[in-house]
Amino acid sequence: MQVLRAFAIFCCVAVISAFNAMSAEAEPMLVVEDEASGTVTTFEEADLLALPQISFKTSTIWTDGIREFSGPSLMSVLEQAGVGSGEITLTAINDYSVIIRRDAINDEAPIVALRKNGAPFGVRDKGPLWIVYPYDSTPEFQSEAIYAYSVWQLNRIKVAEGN
Amino acid sequence: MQEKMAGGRANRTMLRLPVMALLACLIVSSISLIFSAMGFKERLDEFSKANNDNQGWIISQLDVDYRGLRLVVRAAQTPASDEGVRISESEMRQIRQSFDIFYSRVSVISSSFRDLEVQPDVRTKIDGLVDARTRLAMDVDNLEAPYEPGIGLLSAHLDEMAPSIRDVTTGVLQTFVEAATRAEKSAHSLVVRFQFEALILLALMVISSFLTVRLWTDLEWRRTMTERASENVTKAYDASLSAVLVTDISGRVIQCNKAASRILDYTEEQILGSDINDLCVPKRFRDEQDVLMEEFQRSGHHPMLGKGTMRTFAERSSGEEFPADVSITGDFNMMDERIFIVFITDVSEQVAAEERLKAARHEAEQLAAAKSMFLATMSHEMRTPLHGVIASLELLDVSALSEDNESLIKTARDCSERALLQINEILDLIRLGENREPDSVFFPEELSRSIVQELTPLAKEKGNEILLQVSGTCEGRYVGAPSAFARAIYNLAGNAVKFTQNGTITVSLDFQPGWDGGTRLSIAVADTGIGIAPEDQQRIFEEFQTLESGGSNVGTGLGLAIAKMAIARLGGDLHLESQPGEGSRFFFDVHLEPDHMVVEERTAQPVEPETRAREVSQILLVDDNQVNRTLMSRMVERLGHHVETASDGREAVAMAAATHYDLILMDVSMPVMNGLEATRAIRKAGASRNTVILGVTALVSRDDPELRSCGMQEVLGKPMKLGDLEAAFARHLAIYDDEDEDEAEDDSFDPMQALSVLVGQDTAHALVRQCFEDAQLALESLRDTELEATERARMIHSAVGSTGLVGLRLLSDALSRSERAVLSDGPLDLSELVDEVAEEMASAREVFASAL
Repeated sequence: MQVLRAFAIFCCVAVISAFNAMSAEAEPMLVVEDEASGTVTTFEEADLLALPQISFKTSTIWTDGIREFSGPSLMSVLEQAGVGSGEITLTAINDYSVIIRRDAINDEAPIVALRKNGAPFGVRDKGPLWIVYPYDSTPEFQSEAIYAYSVWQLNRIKVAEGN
Repeated sequence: MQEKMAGGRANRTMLRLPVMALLACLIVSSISLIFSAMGFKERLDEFSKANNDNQGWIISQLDVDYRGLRLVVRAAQTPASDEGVRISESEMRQIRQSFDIFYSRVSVISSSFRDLEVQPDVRTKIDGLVDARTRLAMDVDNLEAPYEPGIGLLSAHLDEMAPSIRDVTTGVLQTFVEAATRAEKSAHSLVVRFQFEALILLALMVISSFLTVRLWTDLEWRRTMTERASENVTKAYDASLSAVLVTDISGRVIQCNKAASRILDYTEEQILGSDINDLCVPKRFRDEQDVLMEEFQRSGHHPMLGKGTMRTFAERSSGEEFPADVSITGDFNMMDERIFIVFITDVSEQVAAEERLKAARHEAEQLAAAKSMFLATMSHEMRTPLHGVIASLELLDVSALSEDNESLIKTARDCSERALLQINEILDLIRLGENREPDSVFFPEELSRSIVQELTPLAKEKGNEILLQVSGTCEGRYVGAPSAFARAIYNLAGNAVKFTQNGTITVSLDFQPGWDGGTRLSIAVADTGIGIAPEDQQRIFEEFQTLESGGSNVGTGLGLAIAKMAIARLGGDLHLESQPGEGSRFFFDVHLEPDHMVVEERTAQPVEPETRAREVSQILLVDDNQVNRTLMSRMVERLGHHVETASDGREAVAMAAATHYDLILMDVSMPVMNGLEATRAIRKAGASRNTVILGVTALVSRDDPELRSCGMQEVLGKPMKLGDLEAAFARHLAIYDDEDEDEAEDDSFDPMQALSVLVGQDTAHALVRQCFEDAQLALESLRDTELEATERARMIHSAVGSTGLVGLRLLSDALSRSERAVLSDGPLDLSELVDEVAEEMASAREVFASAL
């Protein structure tokens, strides 16, 4: 088991090193760091698209009009990264950072949106990754906490050591 | 009990008010609580649903992102070495990223604050910022290596943007402050409203609590009352002298009291569960009761249910029957099932007492009846011989006797008259006591007048004047008890005459309308006599009481008792007012119904005799009593007629059929065939079928309508005096109507002598003098045409009576005709009548010359 784990870590480190070596300039789209295991998982656009996609239409308080958002659920991303049960911190390119409560995450919401109206969106448009809840579907998603969790320009997820 | 029930009802009404108020309070409280809660929920929802992200953060991040971008741009512009500014790719990437972040921040601000109530100038500034950012984006996008002087231009544009950034930031923050102030105000009003609602709720709760406490107290009080009432009922039920049995609908006893086991003589255990019919209904009634119960089960109707107490019989365990008062009441038990409450009271002792009382009363009644019977029989038996004595004394030829003997005969006459009077009064009293007289039509005024007239001679004898006063509206005919009426007035007036000397006796009748269409007749008999002392006033009404002070004029003592009884028979009550030495006044009121029916003239017209004007009439005398027959025969003979006798009705009928008689004197009560039957038989056929028949009777009321209906012209009272018989003959025999015959008779008949025989010489003289005075007055009033008709009639009428009384029939007749003429409506020609009356008076004066 230990051997297997050590091997996995090694693989990861190897992958990251290799990636860094290949495109020294380009940073990965999303980095998920699990402090408990010390693993760091990176996701490129293709990786995220490979996960089951969830799509819904909603308005947001930061944009005008109703748009369709799609992407994998945050839950599926975390599962994909195999993170533990520690505190989850979401961080954006602009260094905005928030600790999200576990019970604010389920199989359906939020999603890590990487398509808006079917097209990718850039940093100027709060992209390329945006944690989005279907705000219009229920008043539960219209609270200040949910708004705070809705991190745009997401690029890092850190899961602290569980207790 | 009634009061208590009424109180309970009032309580219930009083209780209803607080209950309603409490309910209203609770409803209002609940509604306001619900509304309050809903209001709060809404507010809470509003709070929990944040329309905005943390906008303070967003706006402050604008400055942060702006400064970040400027730092990155400045750092890139700062020369790393003396070679000058060299901008690397990595620096370029940083610049682009910082710019993108800034770019997206401005977009967020532009969108986020679109709906925010910002002042127009802030909005304008935001729009300006968006435009500046867009221009800046072109600068960034146009950057190409070696980047300078593009970076310099970018840096310059960035610097130009600084005031705009600050304006937007402060403007938006200002808006936030205002919004916060408004929110605070709204929160304050919410709190105030909450406080107000809380106060109202508190008040409602206080009222509710008060009402609850009051209701609870009331209920507690009612419970106590109910308990006490039930306790009382239970005590009464146990202490009741009546057996109380409660049964279910089938008649099975489910409850009973102690009296039930005592009266029915069963133990309580034996009673409970038994059928009430088997328990206490006598065996002879059980089948009937079973039928009634079945009927009840079917129709819900039982003849005894709720009908009050009924007297019947019940049975004890020994089978002994006893009289009982039973009542049955229906009710419902707590399960709403029908029950019956049966009360049985043992009344055997009461019934026994009642029976004893009844027997005692019956015995007393029989004794009283026997006494009456004895008295009646005795009186009647005494009357017949007395009748003989009086008649014999009357017929005795006084002129042949010595003066001493004459005086003795007078005493004998007086005594026998008195004895007869006494017997008659006792008979009157018995008759009144038996109250046998039926109501019939009579004329109170005329009846009173005739009584007054009858008493006038007696009054005059004592120097008294007797008057009749009539006031009010007299209808003439009334329905009542004429003989009781006559007895009352006769006795009162007679007494008054007896106890007054040289005074006035006034009989007054006052007719006034009474209740329900009748007439109230007030009768008073007043005299100016000796009066009655107060201490004697009560005593004189008792039977056989006379006052010592009455002197020689004491009566039988029955007069007032008879009057009192007669008045009681009339429905009145006799009263007395008297002052010793000043006189007495007896008075009473009676209620009479006027008789409006038109009936045929009561006085039967005498039948015209077939053969007239025979000087000597043929008379048939029928009487079963030998003494009567002899005496009456002598009287008839003395009046100058021929008489034949029969001793019973049958004999009389046979004789009347064979021979024609001018007049028949018929005794009413006789053996074999009585007078009534005989009269009917004679009227049917035979030689005497149209003959005048005069009834003669002592016992029965002479007003008995049967006597008239059988065909008698008149009924005469027994014992009869010569004068009575002569007067009757005068009324019914044609010879007396015939003037020629009258002339002839004058020789054999001396009115003055007859009068002297009847009333004594002195009285006769006084009467004749009075009579002529009256006649003289009548004559004067006849001549006086100025005088009013009724006044003239009154004067004449008075003379008619007195002339008739002394035997001046022709004068009386003439006066009577004059009276009618005066009263008639036709043209008055009285001259003939005046002459006739004057003539008759002249001839009468000759007849009575000795007296005048």
